[in-house]
Amino acid sequence: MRRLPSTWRTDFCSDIRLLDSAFVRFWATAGLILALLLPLVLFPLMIPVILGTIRCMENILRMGELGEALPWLRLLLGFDVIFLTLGVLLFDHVIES
Amino acid sequence: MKKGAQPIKKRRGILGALALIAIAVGLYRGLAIAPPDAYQGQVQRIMYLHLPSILTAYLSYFLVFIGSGMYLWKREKRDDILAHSAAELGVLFTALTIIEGSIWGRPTWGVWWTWDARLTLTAILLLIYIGYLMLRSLIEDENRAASAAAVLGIIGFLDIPLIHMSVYWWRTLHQPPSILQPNKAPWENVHPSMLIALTISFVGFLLLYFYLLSLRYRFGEMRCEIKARRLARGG
Repeated sequence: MRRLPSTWRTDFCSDIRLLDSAFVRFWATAGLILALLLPLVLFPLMIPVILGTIRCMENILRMGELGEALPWLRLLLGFDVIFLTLGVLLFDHVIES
Repeated sequence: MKKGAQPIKKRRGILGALALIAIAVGLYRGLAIAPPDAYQGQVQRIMYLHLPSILTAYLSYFLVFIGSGMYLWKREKRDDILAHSAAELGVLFTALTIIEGSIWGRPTWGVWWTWDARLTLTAILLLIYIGYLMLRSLIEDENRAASAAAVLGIIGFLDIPLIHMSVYWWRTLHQPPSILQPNKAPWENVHPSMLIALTISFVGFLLLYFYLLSLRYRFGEMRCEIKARRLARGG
């Protein structure tokens, strides 16, 4: 196979380098990575809500008794109470910085 | 070097040595003296590592919670260092627990992993605190990183009981707790020598944990000092 002309090679390399540095700058400055990370970090914390709503929904769809979904409703309520309180308590401390 | 550094270093060394001895004694008692389990046989002996490591991990998450709360309240750097150190160790001990659990689960249940309630809970815990560490490392500004992480440390800890309940109601397969049962005293359920081995092992893990924590804490302090000196030199 014939060797590529050397100018091509340098062009190709510099393109890659340009792309690479653009990506790095993009990731580092845009805060995009944080925005992408947030759902990932929050997902495990949301598991009680996800499981609870799935079970309640299931109960509604098969038109079950309200009593069957009651523990899950209580769990959701507990989650709401805890996280509302925490939100109100922590908000000031976090925003001031 | 600071004046108080030498005795602290010495004390830390003693702590490490004690941890090593206690773990060795606990292992000896657990592997050689305690009788094998009536149903599970020799495999059950992994309990002497499994239980202490998960309890230590929980202690670690509690310390993350305390450190985070103190940091948001008083804004002192040392609380943040404590929370960060405890989070790293918590991830370490949780990962150890999961590995030990898989080794036990393979001969007992026939699978390395199953979506049983307690396994799922442990995996979720691991995810939360890995997220915590990722969050810390990704925010450039140190104070912002510390407050964001502190919020996550508090929320994550208070969320544990809720996750626990939800996952338990979802499905369960793991054996119910065999030592702490409501209607019986602990020593009626298991052979006393098993309990002794477990206690020694637990003490050993606690000592090891505090040894590692103090090392990791010192590391965090040093990192701060280096940063402060660099700033003082203007570069």
